[in-house]
Amino acid sequence: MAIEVRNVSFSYSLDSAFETKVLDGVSFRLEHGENLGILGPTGSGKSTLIQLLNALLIPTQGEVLVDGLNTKDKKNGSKIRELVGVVFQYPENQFFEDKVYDEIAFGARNLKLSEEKVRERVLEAINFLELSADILQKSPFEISGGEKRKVAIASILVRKPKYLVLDEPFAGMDYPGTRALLSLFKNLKGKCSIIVVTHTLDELLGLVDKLLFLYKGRVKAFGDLRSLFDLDELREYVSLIELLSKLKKKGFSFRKSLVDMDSLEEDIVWNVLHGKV
Amino acid sequence: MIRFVDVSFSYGERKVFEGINLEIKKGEWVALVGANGSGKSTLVKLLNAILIPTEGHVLIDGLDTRDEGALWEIRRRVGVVFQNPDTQIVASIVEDDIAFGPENLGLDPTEIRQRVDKVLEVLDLVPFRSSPTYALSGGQKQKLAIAGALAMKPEYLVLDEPTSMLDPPSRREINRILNYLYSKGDLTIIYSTHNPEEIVLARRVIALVNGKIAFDGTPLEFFSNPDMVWEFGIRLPIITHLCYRLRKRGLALTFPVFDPEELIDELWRLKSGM
Repeated sequence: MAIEVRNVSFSYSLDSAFETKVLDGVSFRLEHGENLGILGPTGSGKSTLIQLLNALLIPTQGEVLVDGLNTKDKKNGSKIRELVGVVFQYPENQFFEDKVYDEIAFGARNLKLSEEKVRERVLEAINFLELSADILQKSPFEISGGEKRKVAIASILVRKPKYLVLDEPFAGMDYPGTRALLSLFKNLKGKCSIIVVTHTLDELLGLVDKLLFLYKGRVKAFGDLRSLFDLDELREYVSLIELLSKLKKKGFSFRKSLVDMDSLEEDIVWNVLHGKV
Repeated sequence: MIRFVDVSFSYGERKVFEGINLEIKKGEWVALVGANGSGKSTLVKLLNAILIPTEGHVLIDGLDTRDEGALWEIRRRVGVVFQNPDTQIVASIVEDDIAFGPENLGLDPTEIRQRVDKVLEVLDLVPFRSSPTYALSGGQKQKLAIAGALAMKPEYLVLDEPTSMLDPPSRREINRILNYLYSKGDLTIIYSTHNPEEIVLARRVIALVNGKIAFDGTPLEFFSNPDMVWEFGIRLPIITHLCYRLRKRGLALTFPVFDPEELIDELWRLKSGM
């Protein structure tokens, strides 16, 4: 079970004067159960890539396989969208129902479940996201920003996707909101694979296993998080990596590769305590 | 000077501010911080008369935002840039978009041309002057929004979470430009942000909690009190946070520290036992 992206290119407005190639020969494989971070500057093709993952866009060249199903094959479309749930950037801008309950239930109803089953899934999702049940009768437009973001995520979780794609899930969120979401995402580990598109990786260390770095439509780097830390381009995105490499130059030694702030803290303390001759 | 005199504001039943008093002098650089829903965006909208206080007065260089006759002058003095670069562009070509504001002021074409040239240069947008606006990246669009605001020659540049939708390189570029504009000395900058690295750039921090001013001081004073900072819904800058944690582990480090080089030097000193 995996998402396989094989030599995928994508152009908007193909065969017209406005043809723009946004992805060029992208390949990677994500096993189910692994979490992936997708990094890259604006315009690098991140948003296009995630739309290719759930068959909203079809590659101009190459192919995308979700658990073996090719997105090119039209009859796979609805199955693939069931497997891959996408929470877009600022998802609360797409609310349209009068009540939070219906907003969340919408995705599950589309799976043609009984209303009883739908209700079960809605309750399960808000429970998981630590939303209180009285929110269900409110209008999605009168709740707080943090609640809106959670409702938007709940509306995808009710579909029980195997792969959950999150496009900049922390954009515009304050620190407690970000922390709360992050710890919830960590709880999803094992239930579904998370694919997070982000500008800032610092807070995601500890959540993602693999990293894909896109630059101008090409894969600049893909692999295990730790194996990529010496990459210059990544330093812009992860200030801890920058600090780590500067400390190394100063003669600090690190027992293991940086995975998050906890391990950095341990190693620095260790260096200071054992560094004295 | 900007003055809030006993300002209250409500959206219908929902009270956002009650009895706010505030002065921002010319030449200040203010970071406006607070959790989602604390009233930051409302405050920004009160500054250029998009919203009018329910009670009290907002005075821009003595002009009351309640006075409809002063509206144009207030909007010229207070340039506002919003979070989403896609919703602030009105024209299809970069230089036309910048000229839009000055044209509405009824300036003569030579003056407009000069202003457009000047801001294109300041924001490093010269190569894009004839580009279609849709072809710009997010960071470039946000620079265009700032260019449009600057072309009005404002006294106050107000930015509502200007970098929250941008990647780190674009974010750094916007901050570099703000630093440059501020260093020239004739602009007052007020921006709202969640980003601690950006709070550090400002000279004054105002924190809003439930529509009240809960803190007013320098960034150094602000981050000296991490418990308060967290209560406001803001994280410490990464470097400052690491420094805080290392101190808790017993390392004798200066706090707060913002500059990684400073932290590295101190750690090296500790390690070598100097």
